[in-house]
Amino acid sequence: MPGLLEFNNYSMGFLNDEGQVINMMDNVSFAVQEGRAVGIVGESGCGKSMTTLSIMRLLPNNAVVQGGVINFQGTNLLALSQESMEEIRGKDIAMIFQEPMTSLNPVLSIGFQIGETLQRHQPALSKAEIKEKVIEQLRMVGIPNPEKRYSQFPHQFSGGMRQRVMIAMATICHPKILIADEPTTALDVTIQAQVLDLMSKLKVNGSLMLITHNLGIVVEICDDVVVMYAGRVVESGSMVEIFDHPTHPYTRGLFAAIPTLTHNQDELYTIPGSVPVSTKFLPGCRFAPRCTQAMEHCYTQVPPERELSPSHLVNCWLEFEQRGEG
Amino acid sequence: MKEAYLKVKNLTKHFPISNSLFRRTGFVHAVNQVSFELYQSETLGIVGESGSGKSTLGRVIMKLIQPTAGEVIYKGKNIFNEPEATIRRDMQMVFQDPYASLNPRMKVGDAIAEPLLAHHIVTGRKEAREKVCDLLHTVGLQPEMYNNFPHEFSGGQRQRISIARALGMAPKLLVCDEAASALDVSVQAQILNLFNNLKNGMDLTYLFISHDLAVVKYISSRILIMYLGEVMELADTEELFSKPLHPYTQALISAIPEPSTRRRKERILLEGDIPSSINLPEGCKFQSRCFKAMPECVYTHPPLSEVAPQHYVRCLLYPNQAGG
Ligand SMILES: Nc1ncnc2c1ncn2[C@@H]1O[C@H](COP(=O)(O)OP(=O)(O)OP(=O)(O)O)[C@@H](O)[C@H]1O
Ligand SMILES: Nc1ncnc2c1ncn2[C@@H]1O[C@H](COP(=O)(O)OP(=O)(O)OP(=O)(O)O)[C@@H](O)[C@H]1O
Ligand code: SF4
Ligand SMILES: [Mg+2]
Ligand SMILES: [Mg+2]
Repeated sequence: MPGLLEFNNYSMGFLNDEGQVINMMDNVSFAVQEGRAVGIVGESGCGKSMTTLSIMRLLPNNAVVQGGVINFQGTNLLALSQESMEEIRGKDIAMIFQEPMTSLNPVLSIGFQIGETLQRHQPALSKAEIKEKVIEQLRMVGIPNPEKRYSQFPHQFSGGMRQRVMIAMATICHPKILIADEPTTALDVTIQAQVLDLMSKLKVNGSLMLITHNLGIVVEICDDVVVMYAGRVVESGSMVEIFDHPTHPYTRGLFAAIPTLTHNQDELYTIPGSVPVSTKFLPGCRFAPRCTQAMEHCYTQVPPERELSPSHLVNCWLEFEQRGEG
Repeated sequence: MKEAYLKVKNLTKHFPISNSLFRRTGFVHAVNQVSFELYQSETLGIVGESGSGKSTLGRVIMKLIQPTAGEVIYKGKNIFNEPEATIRRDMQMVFQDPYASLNPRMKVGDAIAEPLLAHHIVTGRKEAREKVCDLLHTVGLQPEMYNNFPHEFSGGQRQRISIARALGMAPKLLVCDEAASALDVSVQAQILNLFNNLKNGMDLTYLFISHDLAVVKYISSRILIMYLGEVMELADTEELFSKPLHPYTQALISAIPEPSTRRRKERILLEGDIPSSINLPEGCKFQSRCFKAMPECVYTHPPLSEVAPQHYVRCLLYPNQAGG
């Protein structure tokens, strides 16, 4: 089944000082299905934000797309004109950034900023209609006193409230897919819980792509999971498959390295070494130097994609047992 | 009975706040009447949300800032009446951002050697170099890295360097303020294990500050929960997780998303935001968000009481049992 949003063998990199392109994301393929929430997980620098910025066509200036397509409803976003892309951004595809303060304008009222998005995509609405819809939207994301809050400015809102405002702004045009890049990382746990609760209530209305390094949040919200390492997808599938049967050596290491409330270990498992920078990527498996099971050919040849079950793919040279539908 | 290594008594720190005309307009009540004993060789975890006063508490205990009131008794004396030198060698601190605490133009080896020479722990460059190589080895770095500069290291390696620097003074107490929080999961695990191994090898006592309850649970033998500058609960780690008594502790534990597909118990969702620590509520500081609040919570400030042996709670739901 074709997904609502699909990455097919997408590759991108960065220009260095010598004018060469150093590859970062390599042959990335995954799909976000209609009405499902996908979690993209991986450690700092693995390319999570580049994935989202590639969809929005908001990559940094020195970034270069090297190949592949990103299809949205069957249309390659990479081939669209600037105007058509403008049209889609905010309306069909909306995004929430990690730090809400930097994406809100400090000198404009909250109500005006939310209303602006609506006005841009539905120019026929009157001022009064816009205001009414914005207040309704603020109420829906749980802002108390929305009539009063409408005319206040970002600095008058707490971190958790600002994130609610961002969610209100991103969802006011009922986008087909909402992309959230670390939406709760800057928040305290009890406030994070409030925002997660809101997001799981909202998710019924469309697809969601959630970027996080917090595996606990993935369980709360996501139906599917994509695990990235050093610019490549190493494992993907349904959330239950990945969490109950983590298979790639990196995924398994990641799970074992996290202190949790339920596990009582004397010593945490550690993945030796650290994440490589893109100038040091190997031609073969990019995880090989840290992998305890690496074989000689792992260093030189890109690992194949293997299907463990109809809802579970892993990219690794090891032989794994097949499972039925999980 | 365990031996108290350090006694913290009614420690209070208020920061004055002024408006643009430099007129004092009030105080931030960062730390309020905090009392506890730190035992020899234990790891005491300090948990609380942003602004609850964890770092301020750590910095006051380290004598990096003066308290507004209260005492820290170390070796029978209040450290605030003693000269700096009495505690500086015994107590060291490791911070969240190792990059900010390392001079970018100084070779990391020299950065580690500097305090050793300044405090005459070693005499001469040669001995300093040997000691530094030992320390690098202790924290899992190669001695050849002596001549590298901070920017040539990863976040985890830089954190190892600042740990090496703190260990050079052969401290007995290490205050770790979010020392693993900025690190990636796989690197965080390496640093947490390093802390545990060092503790066993060098008989260290830790004050481990973090906002991550799962990390604190992993590393600590006892846990102190803070909210708006006050101690809300203090208990052994096992006890705190099996019998959390304070509603805030209960909410905090339930709010942590766990990476497991097994169904977990229902989450306690707290309403509203954390109040500002400038205009503190009169009664219980948690009252505005508490899901078990009673009418008297609005005006009665609960005392911290020992409701079971070594289990302290500040909540009106629990009458003082061990106090009588
Ligand atoms: N403008 C740029 N020029 C060169 N390299 C860049 C640029 N922007 C990002 N990178 C590199 O691309 C890689 C992927 O970055 P990205 O921001 O996608 O990581 P991430 O997975 O979102 O990490 P985090 O969890 O820290 O947000 C990183 O190694 C980063 O250093
Ligand atoms: N030098 C200062 N001047 C004024 N206020 C301060 C100062 N240092 C801290 N504060 C305030 O004291 C309170 C406690 O701050 P502290 O840094 O101790 O909290 P914390 O628990 O460490 O938070 P975090 O988890 O964000 O690090 C906060 O309201 C903070 O704004
Ligand atoms: S391909 Fe090889 S090196 Fe890479 S994860 Fe699999 S076993 Fe390890
Ligand atoms: Mg990112
Ligand atoms: Mg702090």
